[in-house]
Amino acid sequence: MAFDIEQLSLALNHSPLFQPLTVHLEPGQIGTVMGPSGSGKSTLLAAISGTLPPVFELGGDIRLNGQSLLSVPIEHRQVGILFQDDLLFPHLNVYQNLVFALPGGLNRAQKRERIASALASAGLADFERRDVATLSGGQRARISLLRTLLAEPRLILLDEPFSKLDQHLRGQFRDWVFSRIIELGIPALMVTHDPADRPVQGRLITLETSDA
Amino acid sequence: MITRLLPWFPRLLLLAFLTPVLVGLAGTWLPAFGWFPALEQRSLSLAPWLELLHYPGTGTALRLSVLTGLGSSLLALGATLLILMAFYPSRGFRRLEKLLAPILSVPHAAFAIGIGFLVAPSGWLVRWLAVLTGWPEYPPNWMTFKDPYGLSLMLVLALKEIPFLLFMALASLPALKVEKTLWLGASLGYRPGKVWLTLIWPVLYGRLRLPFYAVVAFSLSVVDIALIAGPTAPPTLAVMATRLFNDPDLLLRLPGAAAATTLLLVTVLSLAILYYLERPLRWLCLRLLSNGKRPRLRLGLRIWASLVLIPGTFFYLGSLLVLILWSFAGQWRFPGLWPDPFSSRTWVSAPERLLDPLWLTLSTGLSAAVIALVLVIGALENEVRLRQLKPGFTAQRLLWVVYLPLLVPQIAFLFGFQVSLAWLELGGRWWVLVWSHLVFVLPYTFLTLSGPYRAYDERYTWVGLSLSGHRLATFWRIKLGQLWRPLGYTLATGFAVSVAQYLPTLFIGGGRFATITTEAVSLASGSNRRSMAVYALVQQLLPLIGFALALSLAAWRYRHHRALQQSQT
Repeated sequence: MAFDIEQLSLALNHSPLFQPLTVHLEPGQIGTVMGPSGSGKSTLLAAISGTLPPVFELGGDIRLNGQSLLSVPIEHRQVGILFQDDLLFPHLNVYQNLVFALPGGLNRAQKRERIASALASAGLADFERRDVATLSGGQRARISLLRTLLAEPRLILLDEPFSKLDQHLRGQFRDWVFSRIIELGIPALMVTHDPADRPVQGRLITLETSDA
Repeated sequence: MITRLLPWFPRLLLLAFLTPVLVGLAGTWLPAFGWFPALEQRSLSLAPWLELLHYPGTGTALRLSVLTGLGSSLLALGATLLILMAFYPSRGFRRLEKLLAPILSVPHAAFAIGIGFLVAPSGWLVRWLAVLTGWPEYPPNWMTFKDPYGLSLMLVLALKEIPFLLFMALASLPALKVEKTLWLGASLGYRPGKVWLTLIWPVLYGRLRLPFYAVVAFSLSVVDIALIAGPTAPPTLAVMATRLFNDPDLLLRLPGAAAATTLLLVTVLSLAILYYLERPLRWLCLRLLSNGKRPRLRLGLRIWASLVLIPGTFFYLGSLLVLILWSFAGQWRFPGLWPDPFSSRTWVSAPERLLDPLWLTLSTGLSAAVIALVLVIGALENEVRLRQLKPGFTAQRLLWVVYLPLLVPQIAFLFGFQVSLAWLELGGRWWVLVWSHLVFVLPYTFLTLSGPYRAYDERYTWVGLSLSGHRLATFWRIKLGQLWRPLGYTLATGFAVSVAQYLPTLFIGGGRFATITTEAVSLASGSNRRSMAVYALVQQLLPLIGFALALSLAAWRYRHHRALQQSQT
C-alpha cells in the first residue's frame, strides 16, 4: 500500500501555509514531517485524516494505493491516527477499547483471540479487564497503538505521539511503534518537533513556508 | 443522512419554544387593548387598562409584586455573593455543592407549603416556642405567613433562588481562577473581601446576568408560590391577573390581559434598570480597586454567611420534616410538638386520589424531558458540525434567545397562547400540554447540557470514526457513552422542571388536566393540612427520585471506570 501526496497545497484566506508538497511513501516507510510552529504540520495531518475544516483551501491530491482520498469521508479512509494524548475511551475497559477497533464479521472467539495476541505482543497479557484509568502512561500509549493497528489501517498518522512520555519510556516506545509499523508494512506519516524522534531509515519531509 | 438533518434541530428547538411565547404575547396584547372577538369585543381601546386601574387593589398588587419580586431577587443575589465570598473555595463548599442538586429539585410549591407549616401562627416554630416558654396557649393572631407585606413570600422566593444562583455561579467559577486571584490579591496585601468585590464579582456577575434576570422575571410574576405564601387581599399582580382570567365574568379577561401585560412591562423595565445600573456599579468597583487602600478590618464574612446558611438549611430541613409529620398526623392539636396519634390514614387513602394526577405528571414530565433532550442534543451536534465547518464558531449569542421564555413572565403569554389554541380548536389536548411544558423544559435542558456537551473532546469522535468506520456507532458508543452523567442529570432536570409547572397546566388544560402540582396548589388554599402535606411530599419526591435514578445509573455505569467516577455534571 503506497501513499502519495501530490503537489499538495493548503491555504487560509488565499495565504498558502507551505510550498506545494510532494511525498511518496512505500509500505512500511515512515515519513517525518518537521517544520517550525505554525508551518501547517497539524493542518497537513487534518487534510490527510479528513478532519480539515472547509475554510482551508486545498489543492493537489492525496492518494492511497492510487486512489484519491479527498472525497472520502473520515470514517471510510481507513487512516489510523495517534495523537500526543492517547485518547483511550475512558468509559470502556482495555478489551472494549480494542474490540471497538476490530473489523466487523468476526465471531466472539476470533475477537478474543486477536485481542489476546495483540496484548501479548505488547507485553500486556491479562490486561483485558483493566480500567484504562489504572494504566501507566507507557501502557496507555501501547494500548492506543494496538487499538489503531487492530482497525487494520491503510495509513497511520502520528501527531507528536511521543511528546507526553517520560524520557526513559520515550525511546523504548518509539522503537516499538516503528518496528510494528515496519513489520505490518503500513506507510506512516509523523509530525514532530524533536529531531530525535525521526527513525534512522525514515524519510525527512520539511515543510517550507511559502515566503521561504 | 442524520448529518443532513442536523441543521433542522436548532430551528425546531427555537420553533418549539418561541412560537408559544410570541403567539401568546400577541394573543394577550390584543385583549389588553380591547380586541377579543370571542367575546364580541372588536374595537381597539384603552378601556381594559382603565378598568384595571379602577379595579380594587391594583395599585397595592403592583407595589407588592415589585417589592417581593425585586426584593427577593436582590436578597438571593446578595446571599449568593456572601456565601461565595465566605466559603469558596473550601472543603465545606464542596460539601455544599453536593447538596445543591437535591435542594434544587425541591419544587417551589412544595417548599412554600412546608415553610407555611413551619412559620404560620399555628406552625411548628410557634409550637416550639409554646412548649419551651409556656406561651402562647393558643395560636396567636400574627400574620407570619401570607402576610399583607409579602414578607413570607419574599422569604420563600429568596430561599428558593439562592441555590439556583449558586449552581449557576459554580458553572462559571472554575474559569475565573478564584484561588489564584485571591492568592495574588493577598500577595499584594488585599483581604479576600476586597479581591472578591473588585476583581472576581464584576466578572462573575457578567456570567450570572442572564440567570439573575430569569430569577427577577420569575419572582415578579410567580403565581403558585404567591397563591400559597403571598398576601391575599389584595394579592400580587400575577395572582390578580390569574383570577381575572379565570373569573366567571368573561369580560374580566380584558383587564386581566392588561394586568398580565403590565407585569411584562414592569419586568422589562426592571431588567433595563438593572442593566443600566451595571455600568455605574462597575465604575464604583474600579474606583474601589484603584484607591490603593488595604483595610485591616476583618469583615467576618463567614459569620455573616452562616447567618444565611444556617437558617436556610433549617428552613429546607424543617419544612421537609414538618411535611412528613403532617402527612402522618391523626390529630395534631396546638401546642403539641408531635401529632397525637400518628396515623397513616392519609397515605393509605392517597393512591385512589393520587393515581391519575401522578400518571399525568409522570407521562407529561418524561415526554417533555425526552423530547427536549433529543432536540437539544441535535442542536448541540449541529454546533459541532458548524464548528468543524468554521473553526471558532460559537453560539453564545443564542443564549439570550434560549433565556427568552425564562425572562418573559409566564402569565404575560400563557393566556394568549390558550386563546390561540382554543381558536385553532387545539385546547385541552395532552400533546399541547407537553408542548406548553417544553417551553420551559427546553431552556433548562439546553443550559444544563450545553456546558458538558461542548466540553467533550471531539478528537475522541475522530478516533472513533477512524477505528470503526461508523458514524452512528461512534456517536452512541463513544460520545454518548462518555456523557451518561450529564445526559441523565439533564433528563432529571427537564423532568423536575415539568413536574413543577403550575400555570401552563392550568391555562393549557383549561381545568381538564390535574397534575400533582396543580392539586397541591389548589389544596393549599384549603384547610386539609394532611392532604396538602401528602401532595407536597409526592411533588417533592418525584424530581428527587429522578435525580437519584439518573445519578445512580451513571454511578453504576461507570463503577469500573475511575476517570469518570468523580466527573461533575
